[in-house]
Amino acid sequence: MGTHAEAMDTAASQAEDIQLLEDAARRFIQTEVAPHLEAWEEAGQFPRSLYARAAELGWLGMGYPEALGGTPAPWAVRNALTIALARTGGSGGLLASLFSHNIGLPPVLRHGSPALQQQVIPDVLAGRKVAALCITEPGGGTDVSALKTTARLDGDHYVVDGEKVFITSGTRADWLTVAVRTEPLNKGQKPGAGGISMLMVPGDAPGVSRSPLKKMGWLCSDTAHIRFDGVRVPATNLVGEEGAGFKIILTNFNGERLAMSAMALGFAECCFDEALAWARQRKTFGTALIDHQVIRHKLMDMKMRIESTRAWLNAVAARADAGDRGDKSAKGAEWVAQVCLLKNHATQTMQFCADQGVQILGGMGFMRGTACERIYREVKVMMIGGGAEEIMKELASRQLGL
Amino acid sequence: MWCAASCLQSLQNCIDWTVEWAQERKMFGAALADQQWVQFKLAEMKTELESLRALTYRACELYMQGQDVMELASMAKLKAGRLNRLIPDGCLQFWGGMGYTWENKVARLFRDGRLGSIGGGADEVMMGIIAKTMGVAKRPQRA
Repeated sequence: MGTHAEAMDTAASQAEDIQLLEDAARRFIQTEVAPHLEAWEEAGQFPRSLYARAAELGWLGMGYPEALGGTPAPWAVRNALTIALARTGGSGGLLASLFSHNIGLPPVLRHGSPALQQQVIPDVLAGRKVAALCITEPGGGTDVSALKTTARLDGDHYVVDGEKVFITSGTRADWLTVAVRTEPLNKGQKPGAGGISMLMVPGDAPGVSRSPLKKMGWLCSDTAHIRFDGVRVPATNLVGEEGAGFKIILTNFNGERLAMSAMALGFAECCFDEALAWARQRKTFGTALIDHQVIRHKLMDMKMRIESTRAWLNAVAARADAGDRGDKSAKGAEWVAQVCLLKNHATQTMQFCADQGVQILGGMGFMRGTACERIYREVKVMMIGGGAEEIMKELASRQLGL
Repeated sequence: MWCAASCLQSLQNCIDWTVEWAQERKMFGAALADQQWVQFKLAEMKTELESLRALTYRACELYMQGQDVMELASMAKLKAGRLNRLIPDGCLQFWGGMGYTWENKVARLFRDGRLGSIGGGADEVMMGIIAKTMGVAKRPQRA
């Protein structure tokens, strides 16, 4: 009985936490983001001071241990924040760069030495430093085992050579979590996926050169092409062991895909909200748009996909939380398959809602300044980044033993 | 009819560029074009495009013979708007991150093409006309 009452208490306090977070997110977006967002999107970046602000609000450290400056929080709570920021008008570029540490840090958090963790993580969670994940190369993204950037051991340093592309927060990140090939240069590791390692490279290390990329969407996210020319990094910056990189990357993807699903849901809801408000206000052929049956049906098609995505996201996140609490059966291969398929479903929901939203807004939906227009441009990166849709299906079918 | 005709070549280019890219691009040790899904998706899109071409040409021919082509022209415009979304979207997916850069040709068609279902009479207006010429909807009553 005691545990049941405790569980009810926990559920009630979590619901309260979520409500407070959603209110804070809405206020933040309305007062500190919305008035400047268009200017930031034009400029290709937002002020760096926003990282410190997000840290102050307690958002950067969510889900990280207290010893490293974080606040432990379950997926249920983290997702609620992501959804609220996306729904109330945070752009994809803003969220991707402001929270790029959520893909950059987990490798160090899970596999780095205590010294490396202390060196990297607290400053990032405090908003003093920016972290980015560098995996994709010009010759391959999702096909991680094909990567060519090398790290050659030279005394107590690694020497890094190669290039990375489409790196979120890449132009100003202070810490680059870089996937490198340590085989066949060093110890006798197997070729292919086996020879990949993760290395922390300071963004200002000599030999690192970066240039911004122009994208279709996520405009205020600073996305970079990065070259490494003989970059020397202390060998102690290696994350985990040599050759463990592939496994680290694959584990990292699950969290990234779950977070992307939450983002996609928030953006879909943002489109729905804007389209509904417009349909109520806009008059065509003498009646409000909402009085046309097909418009109401469009909105219901959007709502149907939004609600199915929400239910599925909550179910998959609940299993992630159970797994994090120690339930080993919660996060097996079948769960990984669900994460992959959920990412596809959530981004398809987002695409459908952006498309229908633009259609309901009509000419306005093609104009800069509406959320539907922005989200229509932002959706493709969600269907490609973090593992393209086709790869998600391949991976899921393999996890399910097909 | 102009809206429909004017997108035939750009959609054809979109597919052609993507076929070239899929043959060039290597992934998991093989060309992207070796994946059955990629082959079928491209085949599907080309089929859609050819049906739009046939519909557009038929509307134009009848128009030149002096017939009323309100219904066929509206159908061509509707289908063109739809394919202006569907084909660049399907193609762009195969370009991966490259397709998300501003300068990419397919990315431009993805952005520009969206206007096709809105400008020159939205899809819904086309369907309204078709429904009326079919006799399933009443003629508009002016308020």
